[in-house]
Amino acid sequence: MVIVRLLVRAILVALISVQVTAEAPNRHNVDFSGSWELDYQLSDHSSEKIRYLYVQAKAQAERAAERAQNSGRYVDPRIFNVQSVIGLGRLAEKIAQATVLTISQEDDHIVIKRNDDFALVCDFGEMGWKESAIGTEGCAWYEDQLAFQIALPEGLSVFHQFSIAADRSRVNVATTVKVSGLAHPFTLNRVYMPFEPGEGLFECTYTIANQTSCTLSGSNE
Amino acid sequence: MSKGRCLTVLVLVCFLAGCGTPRAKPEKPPLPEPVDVALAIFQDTDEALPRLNLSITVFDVESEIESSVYSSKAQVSSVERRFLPSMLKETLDRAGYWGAVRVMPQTDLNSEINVTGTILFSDGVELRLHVRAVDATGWVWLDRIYYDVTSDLDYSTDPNYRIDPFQDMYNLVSNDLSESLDSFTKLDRERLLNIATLKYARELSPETFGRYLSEDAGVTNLNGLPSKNDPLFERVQRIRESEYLFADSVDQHYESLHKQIGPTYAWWRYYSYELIEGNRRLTQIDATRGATRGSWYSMERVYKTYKESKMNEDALRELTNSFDRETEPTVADLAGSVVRLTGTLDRQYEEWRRLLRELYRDETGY
Repeated sequence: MVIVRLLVRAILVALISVQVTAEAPNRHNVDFSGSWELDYQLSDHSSEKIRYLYVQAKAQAERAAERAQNSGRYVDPRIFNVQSVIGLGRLAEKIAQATVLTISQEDDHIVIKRNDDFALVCDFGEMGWKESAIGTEGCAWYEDQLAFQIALPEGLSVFHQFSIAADRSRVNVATTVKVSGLAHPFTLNRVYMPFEPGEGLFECTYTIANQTSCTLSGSNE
Repeated sequence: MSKGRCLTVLVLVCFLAGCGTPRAKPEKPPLPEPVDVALAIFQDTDEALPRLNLSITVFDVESEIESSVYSSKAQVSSVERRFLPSMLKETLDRAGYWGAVRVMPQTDLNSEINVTGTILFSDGVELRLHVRAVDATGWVWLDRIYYDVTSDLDYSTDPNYRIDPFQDMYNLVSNDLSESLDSFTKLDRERLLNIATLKYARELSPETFGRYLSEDAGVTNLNGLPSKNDPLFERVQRIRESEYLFADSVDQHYESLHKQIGPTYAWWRYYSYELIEGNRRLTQIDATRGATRGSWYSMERVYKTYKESKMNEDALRELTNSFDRETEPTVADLAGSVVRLTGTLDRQYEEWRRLLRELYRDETGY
C-alpha cells in the first residue's frame, strides 16, 4: 500500500512538473530577436549524419539478427528498418532547409521568419496545442529553450527546438523528425550566427492594392 | 480494488493515453448556404407619408482581439466597426424608405429610429452581425442576428472587389426595416415624430416638456402636445434644426472614411477570403493523394501540404499588417483632428448636447 501511494505521488509530481516546465512563460528572459544566417561550419551536415547513423543502425541490426540466429529464433529483418534512417534524414533535411532566420520577439509573442519556408509563430499567452488546417501544432518553453511541435497525418511529427548562446553569438535549431512506428527519430542541428542585413539593390513595399512594388535603392522615382 | 489502486490505474491510464497530446476542438457547425436577397425599393404611394429619420450607431465588436501576434486584426476590427455601418447606411439610402440616414458615434437622441449593431464575426468569408433597431417610443423594430457567407461568385463579378460581397446581408436588414415601416400608418408615423421631438425637448428642459410624455415598462407614451405657437417649443425646434446640421457634419466624417479606406478594405477582404478558402480546401483533400500510405513520398506530400497552408497563413498575416499600416494614419488623422472619430467624437457629441442645454436655459430662463 505504501508503495502504491509513493508511486501515485511520484507520478503526480512528475506530471505537474512536466506541465509547469512546458507551460511556464519566458522566465529566463530569453531573446531570440535579430537576423541570423546559417553557420555551415558548426551545423550538422545532413549527408554525413545520415551516413553515420545508417552505418550505426545497420551494425546494430546485424548484431541483433546474429543474436537472434544464435538463439534459434526467426527475426523478420524489416523490424530493423535501416532504410528508414535515410528516409527520415532526407525529410529532416527538407524541413530544416532555412539558411536565414529573421526573428522578432515581443513580451508576448515571437515570429520566426525563415527564408523559403513558413514562419514559426508563438503566442506566449496561448501556448499549447492548436488545430491547424492540417494536423495540430503547439509551442512551449522548456526552461530557456523554445520548442515548436507539429503533429501531422501519417504519424509524422516535427519538433524545432530553439536555444541561444549566453553571449548571443549563436542560435541552435534542433529539428527532430519522428514517424510513429519507427524507433529512432532523426535530429538535425542547424546553427545560426548573427548578421546585419545590408541594403539590397531594391527597396520593396507591400501594399494591399498595389501588391509588392519595388524601386532601386536610393532612387527617388 | 482499493481506492489507492484505482487512483494509480487512473493516473497511469491518463499518462499512457498522453495527457499532453492535442485535444480535438469541437467541430464547427457547417456554414449556411448563401442566399441572394434583392433590395426592396420604395414605391411612391398616393398618400404622402411623413419620412422618419434613422441613425446608425458605430458598431461594437463582440470580442476585443488582445493577442499582439494578431494585433493588426484589432486594427481591421476598428475600421470595420465604422465601415460596416456606412455600408448599411448606403443600402438604406438606396432603398429610399427613410428621411435622413446618418452614421453617429453614439445613440442619436434626435432621430426617430436608432440602429445599433455588434460584429460577431468577420473574416472575408463569413460575416455575422447582431442588429437591433429601436424607435423613440422604445419599440423594438428589429433584434436579429444576420449572417452571410461569400462564394467565388461574390468576388468574381467585380474585378476591383468594390461590390460588397455581403450586400445580401445589408439588403436583408434594409428589407426587414422597411417591412416594419410598411405596417406604420400615417398616424403611427406622426405619433412617432411627435414623441421623438418631445423626447428631444425633454432632454433640453425636463421641467417644461416632461409632462407631455410618460414611461411605462420601457415604452414612451404621448400624453399631449404643446401648442404650436408655444415660444419655448419653437425654440426647441430651432435648436433641433441646428443639431441636424451638426449630425450631418458628423455623418460626413464617416462617409469620407468609408470612401478613403473602402478600396483597401475590399482588397484585404478579398485576399482574406482567398487564403481562408484555400486552406479550407487543403483540409478537404487527401494530403497523401497519389502516394502509397506510409511511404516516404506520402510523408513528403503531407508535409508539403502543411507547408502550403502555413505559407497561406503567413500571407494573410502580412496582408493584415499591411492593412494596419495603410489605414492607421487615416483613422488616426480623423481621430486626431477635431477629435472627430472614436471616443473624442463621443465627447464632442456630449459637449455639443451640454452646450445646447445651456443655450436653451440662457435663452428661456428654464
